[in-house]
Amino acid sequence: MGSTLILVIMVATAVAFDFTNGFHDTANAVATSIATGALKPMVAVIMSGCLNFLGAFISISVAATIATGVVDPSVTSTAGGLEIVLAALTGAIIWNLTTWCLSIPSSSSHAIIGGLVGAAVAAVGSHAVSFHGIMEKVVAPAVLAVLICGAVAAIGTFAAYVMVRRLGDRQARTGYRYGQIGSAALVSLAHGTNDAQKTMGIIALALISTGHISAAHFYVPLWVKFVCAGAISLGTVTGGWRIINTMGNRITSIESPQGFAAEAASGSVILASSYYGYPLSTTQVVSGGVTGAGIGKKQPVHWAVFGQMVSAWILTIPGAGIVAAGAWEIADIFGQNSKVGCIVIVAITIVIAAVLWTIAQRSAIGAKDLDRTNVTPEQEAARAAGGDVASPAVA
Amino acid sequence: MLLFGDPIIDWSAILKIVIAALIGGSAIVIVYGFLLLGLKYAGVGDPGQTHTERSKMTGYAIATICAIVVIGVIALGIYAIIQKPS
Repeated sequence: MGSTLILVIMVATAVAFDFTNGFHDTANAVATSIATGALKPMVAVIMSGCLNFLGAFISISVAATIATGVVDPSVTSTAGGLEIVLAALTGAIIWNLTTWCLSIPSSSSHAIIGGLVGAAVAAVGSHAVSFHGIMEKVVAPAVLAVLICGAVAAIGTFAAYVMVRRLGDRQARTGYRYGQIGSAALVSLAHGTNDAQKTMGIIALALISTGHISAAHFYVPLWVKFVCAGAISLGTVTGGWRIINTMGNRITSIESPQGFAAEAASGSVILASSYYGYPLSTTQVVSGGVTGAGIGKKQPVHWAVFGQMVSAWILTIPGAGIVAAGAWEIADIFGQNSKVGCIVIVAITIVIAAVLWTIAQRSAIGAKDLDRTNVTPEQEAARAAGGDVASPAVA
Repeated sequence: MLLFGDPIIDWSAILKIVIAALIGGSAIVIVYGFLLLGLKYAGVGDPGQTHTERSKMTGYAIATICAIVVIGVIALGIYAIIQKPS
């Protein structure tokens, strides 16, 4: 009975993490479309939410990596396995909310991986962690994906502006805005195949630890897919406007041809990586794409903002890991497999989440602040040439 | 690159990702640009200009071929994910 209650708490916490993953990360799929006025903010996030839901059912290769490739499944199968997973989730949620509060696009994927590593090390020691798996499946692909996506987006942007010169400004910008709707849809779908699965992997890890699933014959139950797809979609529709603002407006000034090139590069990198089972961060890939789009047009990139993001990326795994390790230590005070310990760390997480939410509301950014659909292609061209067009929220 | 004697980067997988990204990311942008160019020749969204029938036919043909390529690449990407063994 005790472990069933802990399993229920753990699944509920995993769903909460998936929700934060939705509003923290998923909206990045549509940030450039919103920034160029290709889509109204609410239309963009609703479309993205629906496609995330669909994408969650396409593949489970990333879920398998999370469930079996980071921490030795035999460790999470022990009596304290559920507390380890729960502590990992609280670490990831707190890290996600902290970076969201600071408007920094960081990786939810790395937050959950960092959480798993931190909690596992605190519980049983470093031998439980597959550092080789983390380097091979997480760190190396993350670094390479940003570089690859940036280079591809830069080439795509350069090519797009060659076409703009042949097409004429108005027709090109209008055409690329339509293209952005398609590319945003593709990135959203790709995001669903990647991010929704991370929580599926976490819940599967818990089900392995309670013996509901065998690690040797890994699969994700249908109800887990539905719950995870629903939670990430709901989070997406809620809209992480602070991160959308940073991604779409603060890294560089994005026009529709650049937005299309950045999204096409991001979508293809995420889809290809999902195919090979690499749990990439959509945030990092899209950030690389947006930066590459700026470089491809030889326009200023705000390297200070990019530097802040890179710092957050570097700190994510250790940061979430430390929080998760702390959470496990608190739970452990009440004994192994203790319901009270689990309830206490969930309660602490709720309080911290409420505090961060309250702080964020002091400088709230909403959908209306980011709506640029009233900006015509001519105004976009004027803005690109240094003209005066009302800027959206960039605080 | 090695970590504790084992390779940590599967370069063949990375190379395939790079190729897929170049096709899906850069080439699609170019093909989509030609799609827009085809529509321009066909007179779509450009009512002020006069276009000959030949120009319109050529424009529509280019746009159609490019649209098929764009949709095909997207479909291929999604198909590859669906076919991926778990």
